[in-house]
Amino acid sequence: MPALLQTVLLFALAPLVNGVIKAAKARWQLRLGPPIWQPYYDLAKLFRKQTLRATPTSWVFAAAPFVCWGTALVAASFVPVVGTFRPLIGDYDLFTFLYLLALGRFALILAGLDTGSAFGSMGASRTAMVAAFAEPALCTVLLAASLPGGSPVLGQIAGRAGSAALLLSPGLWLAAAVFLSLCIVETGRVPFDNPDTHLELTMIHEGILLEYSGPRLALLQWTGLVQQLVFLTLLANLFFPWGLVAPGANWVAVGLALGLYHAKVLLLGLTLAGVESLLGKMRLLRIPGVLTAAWALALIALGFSLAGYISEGM
Amino acid sequence: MALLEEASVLSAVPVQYRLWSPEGLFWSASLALLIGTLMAWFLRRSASLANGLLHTLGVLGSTGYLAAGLLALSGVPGLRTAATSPGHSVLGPEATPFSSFTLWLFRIDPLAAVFLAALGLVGAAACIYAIGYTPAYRAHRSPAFLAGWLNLFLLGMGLLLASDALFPFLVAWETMALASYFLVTAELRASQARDAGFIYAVMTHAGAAALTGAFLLLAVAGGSFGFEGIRAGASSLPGPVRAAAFLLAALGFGTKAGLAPLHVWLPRAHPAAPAHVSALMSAVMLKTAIYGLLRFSCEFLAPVAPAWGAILLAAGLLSMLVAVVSALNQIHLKRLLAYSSIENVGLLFVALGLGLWLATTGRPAAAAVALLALLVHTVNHAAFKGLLFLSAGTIWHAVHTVDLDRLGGLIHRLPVTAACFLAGAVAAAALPPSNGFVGEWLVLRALWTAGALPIPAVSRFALLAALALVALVSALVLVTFAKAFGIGFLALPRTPPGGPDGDPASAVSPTASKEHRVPKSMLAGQIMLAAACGLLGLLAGPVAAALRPVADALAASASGGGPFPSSSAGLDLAVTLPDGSLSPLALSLALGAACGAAWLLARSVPRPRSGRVATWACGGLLQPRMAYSAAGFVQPLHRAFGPRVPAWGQRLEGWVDHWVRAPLVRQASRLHRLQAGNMQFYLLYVFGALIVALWFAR
Repeated sequence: MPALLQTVLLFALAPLVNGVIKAAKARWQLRLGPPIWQPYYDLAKLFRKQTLRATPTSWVFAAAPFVCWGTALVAASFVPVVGTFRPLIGDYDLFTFLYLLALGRFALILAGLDTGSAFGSMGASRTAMVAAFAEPALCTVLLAASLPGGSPVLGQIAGRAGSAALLLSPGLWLAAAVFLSLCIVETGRVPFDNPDTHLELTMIHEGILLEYSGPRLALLQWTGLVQQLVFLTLLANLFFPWGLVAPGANWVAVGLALGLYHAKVLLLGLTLAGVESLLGKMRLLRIPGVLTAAWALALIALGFSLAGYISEGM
Repeated sequence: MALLEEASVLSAVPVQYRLWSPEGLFWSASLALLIGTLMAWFLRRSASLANGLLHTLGVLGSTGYLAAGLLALSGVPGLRTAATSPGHSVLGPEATPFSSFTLWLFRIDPLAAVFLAALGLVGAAACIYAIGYTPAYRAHRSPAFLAGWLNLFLLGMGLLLASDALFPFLVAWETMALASYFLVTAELRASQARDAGFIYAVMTHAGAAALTGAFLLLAVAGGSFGFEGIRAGASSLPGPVRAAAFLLAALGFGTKAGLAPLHVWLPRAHPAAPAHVSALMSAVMLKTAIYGLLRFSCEFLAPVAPAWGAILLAAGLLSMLVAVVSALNQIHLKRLLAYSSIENVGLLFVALGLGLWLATTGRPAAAAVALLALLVHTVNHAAFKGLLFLSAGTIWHAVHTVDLDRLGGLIHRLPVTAACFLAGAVAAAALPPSNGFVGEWLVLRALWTAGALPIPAVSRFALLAALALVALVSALVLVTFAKAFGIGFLALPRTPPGGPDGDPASAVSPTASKEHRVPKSMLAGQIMLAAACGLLGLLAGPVAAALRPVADALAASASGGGPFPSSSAGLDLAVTLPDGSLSPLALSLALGAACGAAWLLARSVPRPRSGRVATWACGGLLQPRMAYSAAGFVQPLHRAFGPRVPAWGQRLEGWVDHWVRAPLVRQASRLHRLQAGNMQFYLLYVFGALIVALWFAR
């Protein structure tokens, strides 16, 4: 039950986090910007709109939003938000998590190709490229985080003894920095992609969404928001696991953990907004180079993690 | 030491066996296939009768193999033959040195049963499929020809898996090679099929020569040509001889399995062969090589030096990387699938190498996980790769091209085939909850467990870096299969109606006739394998539980040590490891429920009726040429890897061609002069060989 509530929290909070990030970006640009509740209004509006399906598309295009939303729901259920509660369907590890995200990505790539237009194909092709280079870096950095806990299960990575000495580990900070950059990649933010425009130059994710309308578009946008929050939650709870409650804690502890979680996510969201406002978007063809460098740094973090593991005698 | 106590030993002469036992089913199936092979000669004039009857015999034989394998795995007690005893030979006294030619022993132990079950499954589907597919080759070869060689191919693979002595193994190996050669060169008129067959024959025989050398080294030293004797004798061999035997075996089996850099024949032979033959080759024939290498490394030469495990792991990784980069750039669908097979074989070698290394450095428990991954992925890969090749064959049958740049829109014209191909592609990309994911997950967990062991940090780093490389290859495989399905089946057809030659029969337009023109048997074969994939995925828990005792025994045997406490094989719906579990059934249910919830959510809010609208094409009409081509889809990746990396694969193949294949062919041409065609010369050779043999035997 608590695990299910965690997942519901993730889905309910995701649009608000995006609203806060947009408001922060607006402040950086010296404007007022939309209210922080705007994403909720947008989603509600889209659910009431008519669905128009493009003519050459097949059931793959029609089913992809449901598959994406469904995989996001199941993947989000493994993520420790407030505490390390056991997910409803069992303890699943980081590999299952990564491959579930890959399933959603596969469905989206096929949906992009199904439209038969250049925009959809372009979005699909670029998504595939970015994902292919981001995957090994993501896997390595999660491995680096999982070694001290002795288990690849996400809940147990977060539940490891978070001693203060861990804060001094250079590997942890390096891994957290790499994971932050991978968050930016996966959420399609500057400097990798611009989430605010629909120009051809920045169509990595947006190209696929171009032909969607109505509730399906709402589901796809909501999936993107949830994925963003999931990555921020992982960054907060896997690398800085203080404040997580164990199963069976009382409501006061859960309330405190909830507050701490909100603070962490707010801080990370503001960091994302700052990064987006201060950096310029890089050329698409430079992305693989940057992601390979991220992988190299992740391998170094893995090395640090191995050395730290040994010196702590675990 | 015997591999497992519950092996069912049988003799070649069926003495008092019951039909409903592994050996009874095995011999009945082999008899059916033998009849099928021989009848092909008599039915060579009547095409349709040969097609139906011979392929039906093939289905019966394959089903028999499947049942035999499953029965042997489940270890049904009390159904053993009455007159069997270990090492019972057929035609002569046993256990005398060099009574080799008479030693024809067969045994179905659980390891062979796993591979036999995979053979039976894919063989049955391929034979059903072939009933509808073979008539398309009527211009090249008669159905009797193809069906006869197909039966012999299946028979050879079955006998190979059940062999318990050197000569049956080698004879079955050669039978398999011969039959597959004739099947690969089915398209007589196509020169590329002839070239592919030639390269295939050369590489196969080079591998068989290495194999024979390895076997003979062990057999001569052990004094017996039965596997029992080889097992017993190999432990007393000196180190360099064992190393030489293992090297020869690795080269021989590696050539057959398609391990880089010995894989050069695979991307040429698989596209040239008919679809069901490619399916069998990819799904089963490559695995027989893995089976042989398992016998060598975990039984005959156990315990091998730990370095061999590391070498096999590295070779597997190299193979995966080379294959996936090549697969990414392929436009020919069957060649793409062939490279994907090489990549999966590389993954199997990673699991094998890891298991060997762990077993021989004193960690049989972790080794059992790696070997379980190997066995599970073998079975799963057989199912989904067979399905993919059969679907590719259906595409060829319908539109006479498998060039991705000329396909498109097939999901409207071939809906069932598209659904089957999608199921296969999802499994090949190892996406949950498919069966392909289970095998890959097990390999990743085995690598993680090895990386968490208390071994030197450098080794741990290497293992975890290998894990990251497997993740990279997996991401690239996802792109490859998204390309294969997306470009081939979705959007608009890229070829205009009227086809590339103006021939209406090859029109790819969605308004052309639908799938009812595809023979029902082809659809049946595909649906059968798709259902098998689905079941293997959902029931991955029981499958892993059934294969776990085999993996445990392999690990115990590979570590050269004594009995290994078998982990409890309860009827678990989840794949359980010592430190984690995966339940594809629960995942599937959760995913289904989540997607259903999304659908309900979408329908819950009242809104206007949905409509259809043309895809936005910047104000103009949508043209098929606006969609990406296959090369365009991977162009960002291609560019990111740089111009040289994709060429590495080709350079490697060219290097192997130049240094391995060409010298072999040159030497063979020189030796060809010995075959003068003159009877007197042949009598001279026989006389000379007799003198030499007498001199040695004195």
